[in-house]
Amino acid sequence: MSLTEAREVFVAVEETALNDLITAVCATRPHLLHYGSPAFVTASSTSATQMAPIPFPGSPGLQWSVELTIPRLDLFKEDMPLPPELSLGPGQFSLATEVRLCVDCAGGREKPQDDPDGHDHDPKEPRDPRDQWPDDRDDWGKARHPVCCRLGVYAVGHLVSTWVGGERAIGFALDDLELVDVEPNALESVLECLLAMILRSVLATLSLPVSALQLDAFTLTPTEGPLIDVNRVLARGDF
Amino acid sequence: MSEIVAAIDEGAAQQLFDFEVASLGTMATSGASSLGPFAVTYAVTGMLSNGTIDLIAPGTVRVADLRLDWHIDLSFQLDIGDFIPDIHIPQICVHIPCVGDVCTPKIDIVWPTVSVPVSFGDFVKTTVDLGVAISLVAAIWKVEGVVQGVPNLQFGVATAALLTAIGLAVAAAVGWVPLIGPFVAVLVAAVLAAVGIAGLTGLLGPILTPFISGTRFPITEVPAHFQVLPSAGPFDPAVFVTVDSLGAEVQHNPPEDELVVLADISA
Amino acid sequence: MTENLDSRALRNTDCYAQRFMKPGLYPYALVPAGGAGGNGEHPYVVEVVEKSGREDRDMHQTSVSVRFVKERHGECCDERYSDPGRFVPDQERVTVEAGDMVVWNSPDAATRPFAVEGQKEFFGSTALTNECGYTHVFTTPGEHTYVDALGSGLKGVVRVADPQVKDRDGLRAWQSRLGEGTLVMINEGRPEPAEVDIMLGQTVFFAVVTGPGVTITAAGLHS
Repeated sequence: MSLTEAREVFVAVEETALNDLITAVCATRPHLLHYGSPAFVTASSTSATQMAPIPFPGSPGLQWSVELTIPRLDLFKEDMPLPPELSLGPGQFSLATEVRLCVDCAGGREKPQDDPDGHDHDPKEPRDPRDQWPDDRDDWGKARHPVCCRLGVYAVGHLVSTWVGGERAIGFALDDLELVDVEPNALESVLECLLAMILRSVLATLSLPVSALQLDAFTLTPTEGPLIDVNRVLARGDF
Repeated sequence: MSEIVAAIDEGAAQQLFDFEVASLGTMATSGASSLGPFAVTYAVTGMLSNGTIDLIAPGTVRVADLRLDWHIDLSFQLDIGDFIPDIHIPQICVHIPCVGDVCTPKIDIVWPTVSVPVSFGDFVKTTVDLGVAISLVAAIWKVEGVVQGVPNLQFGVATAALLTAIGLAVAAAVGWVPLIGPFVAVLVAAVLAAVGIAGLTGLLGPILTPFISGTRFPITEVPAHFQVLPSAGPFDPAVFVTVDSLGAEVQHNPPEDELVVLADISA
Repeated sequence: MTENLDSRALRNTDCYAQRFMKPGLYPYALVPAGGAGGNGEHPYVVEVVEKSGREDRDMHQTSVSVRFVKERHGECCDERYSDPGRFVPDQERVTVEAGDMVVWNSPDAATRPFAVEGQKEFFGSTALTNECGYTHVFTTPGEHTYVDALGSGLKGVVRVADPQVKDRDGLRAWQSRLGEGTLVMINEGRPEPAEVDIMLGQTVFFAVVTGPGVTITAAGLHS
């Protein structure tokens, strides 16, 4: 069987190359994977995207951050083990990443910080018990009591056709997501929902032009794909 | 297995070749050579067109009926005396009544050397095999078709027409020479006999063959530092990957022959 | 192709002949045709002495060969300081007897056109007056009408036939006829015969017996 079949041009990208492309995008533009309110992200930059604090009555806003590691993709057929709740079907990709969630725990009981990434409050300094929400607007850009956790995230999804800079591109759409070992189950469900929404938004910012998939070696107007074949993305079209 | 595979069939290869050949534009060269017994200086232009592509595994792109349209401007020095003898007008005496005999001295008409410019154009067709060559030049991966062997250019009718053009040019170049009138036909015939078909092919072949054999036909170029995404703002710099290796070959994937580019990349 | 028929501009296909009837010194100059370049000097001389010997002695002819010599002085190879050259006879002084003829000619095809300019009014190639002549080898086939550029009304025709040389035998046959000359006598501005027929490469002698001073110039060249 010919590569081009009934078309003039054929392109195939193995999953290793696809991961190289995604790694290059995420490493060059890490702000796509790191979001936070002003206590964690003092200003938007290449490294991180500043977002608004979560408003809540009686508080100056809940300070938060979300940071993902560069996702690793596995194209059908399955090479990367998945939790039993997920399965990789034809035309799908799986994704593995780690999410670090942080909040700036302002006020309330002091608790020793066992997260090495958090700031320690000096226990010798007395606090005014009436001051549950100290006005720390002068200290914005500096999380005073960060509390963080890391979660392993697995997901499956499919490719979508999109546009980047006026040319055809592939995008990544989420079908299902699973956290591992979070209890109770209800908390896992809430977090899975939250992370699914976050991951969908992050994936929406990740697109790869079709021309980049074949290093612009030949002009290609896709009429078939791009689609996930077996461990590769392929497309066919006209010259 | 290569990480990225891009392939085109013969139809796309034909479109690619037509575009690249048209992009070559007009080629030019100049220099000095010989035309039979004459030393010539020349300026030649050539333009390639047409050609039917046949992909042949494992690494040949055959171009049939590749056409080269060419035009030559050449000039050579013609010593007329090499072809027709100098004219010797003897002493002539007339008798003038009541005066006597008056005589002219002998006069030698020495033929000059004239410059003969010739301008002529025609075309030639040939079939060439291109080998697929990969090179990394100035951080650019280049995939090119390189002519294998020396194409045999058949000039045919063009040589006869060029001989005719040379004859006309000689006649025009000597027209001003006193007393040449009766000898132009003899001179032209002698010059053309000296040049001959062999002289023309001996001139044209080495000049025109490099227009084909020396041409590298671009297939594709890939920067070693390949831009995946352009810059999209102050927080979105351009994204690059490194093309670690690039290869190209002709594959027979039944029922088609396809030109295939293979690459490995890293982030 | 234009026939360079002009007695005012002598080339290697032309001769100027002048007969000197009276003893004396006749200075002259060799100048570029057209007059530009002459400096008024007449550095060369024809010395005419009394006839010696018999009264019925045949007229003798002395030939003078003219060449153009390039000269440079001053900075070598710098055209700003160099004299482009001058016409020089092979004999700066010739001595002839009264009644003899002197014939000037340049044998070099590359020599630019020149004129003989005598100090005496009758003596010069730019106006043929008395007992003089102009010869010309015709190098172009066709019918050539000649006139007097000085406006005397002189007019004649020379028809030059193409020998139709096809091969070397034809060439030899034609060459054998080049020694034939044709005489045209011009008296008081009238040529006799007024029309002549010759072969390409043959010579016509225009002998001027007497007249107001004429030129033999191809119609269309006179100005």
